Amino acid sequence: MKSQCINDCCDRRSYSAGSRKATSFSNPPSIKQLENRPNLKAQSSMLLIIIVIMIFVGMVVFLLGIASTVGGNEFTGLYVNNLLLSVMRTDTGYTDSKCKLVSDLVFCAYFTPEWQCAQGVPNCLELANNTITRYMTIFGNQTKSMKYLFTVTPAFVARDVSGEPISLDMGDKALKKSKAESLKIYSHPLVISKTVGSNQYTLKIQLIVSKK
Amino acid sequence: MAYKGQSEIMEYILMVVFIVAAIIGIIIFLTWWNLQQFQMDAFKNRQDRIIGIGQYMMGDYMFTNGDSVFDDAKLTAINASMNCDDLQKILGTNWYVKIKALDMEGEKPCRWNDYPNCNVWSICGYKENAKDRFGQNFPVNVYRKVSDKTALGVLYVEVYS
Repeated sequence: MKSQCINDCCDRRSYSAGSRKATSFSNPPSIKQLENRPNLKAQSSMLLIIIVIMIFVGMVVFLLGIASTVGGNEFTGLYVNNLLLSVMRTDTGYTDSKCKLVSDLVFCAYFTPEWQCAQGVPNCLELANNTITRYMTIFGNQTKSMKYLFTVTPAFVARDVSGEPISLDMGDKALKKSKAESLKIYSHPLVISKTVGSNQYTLKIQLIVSKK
Repeated sequence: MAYKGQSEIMEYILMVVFIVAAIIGIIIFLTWWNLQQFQMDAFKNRQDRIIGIGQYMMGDYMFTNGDSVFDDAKLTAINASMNCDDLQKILGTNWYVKIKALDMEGEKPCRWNDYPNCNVWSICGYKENAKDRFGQNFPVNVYRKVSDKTALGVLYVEVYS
């Protein structure tokens, strides 16, 4: 009985709505139009649901867009720059002026890779690689282990026969070609100069770091 | 016709349920969002404080010979003679700093008697019962005055409540 009454009310309501429409457009609604009214209502309900969902999604996207990200950038930048400086300033344990500090050793490895810092020790290039690996391992054990790459390039333009810039890379060489730029952190380039005889040589050293 | 009426009631009920669920969802999401932002701000404040203390330490000639190169003799003297209150007047309270030279195995705290065969300097003492600890490491150098060598080191800065 109840459902019948509701049904009647609905019919009356739909009929009166049809009448209003008829007066405004001067054409009375056809039976087919009246039959289609529930479909229109269902469509409007769907539209409402979609609008609510869109508002919700829009709000989420907007809030995520304006969200303040964790302020790790300043610390990470400071960390990587300090790491490069600290490693380069550390003593190697050799007394030869070409090999005293790690930066001296890197210089030696770039310009005179076959030089031996002392008798019975590997040449500069190998020693530079070993020393940097050792220091980075010591440091990694104390703090956090990471992938790293030291790239050394001269201040002047130097290219090999294939036209590639001549650079000395120490560490994980895959990091240079890695496409995941967002995961890599670059230090500011460290410029070191040395005068040999009457010539001054300048090298640019950069550290690239990534999570393991 | 009766089915049609029932289905319309069902439709209304479903709509109401959906709208109420959407409103509840939005309220939960906004509350979660606010909490996340509070936590992020708290983390950022702590990180900024750590960076501030770290940069002060690395740049002050009371501890270093130059940028980020700590002098082991200065550190030992400060460790033995300086009162933490003086530093807390500059840097605030509730922090702790440890500098470790990585040229030795293990940790050997530096006091007058142990110098230079030691590698750890603590400033403003470690507090066992401190809460909400948060610390960061900075790569630094430690200059060994006796051997005239620069060693790799770590500056650990911790803040707590």
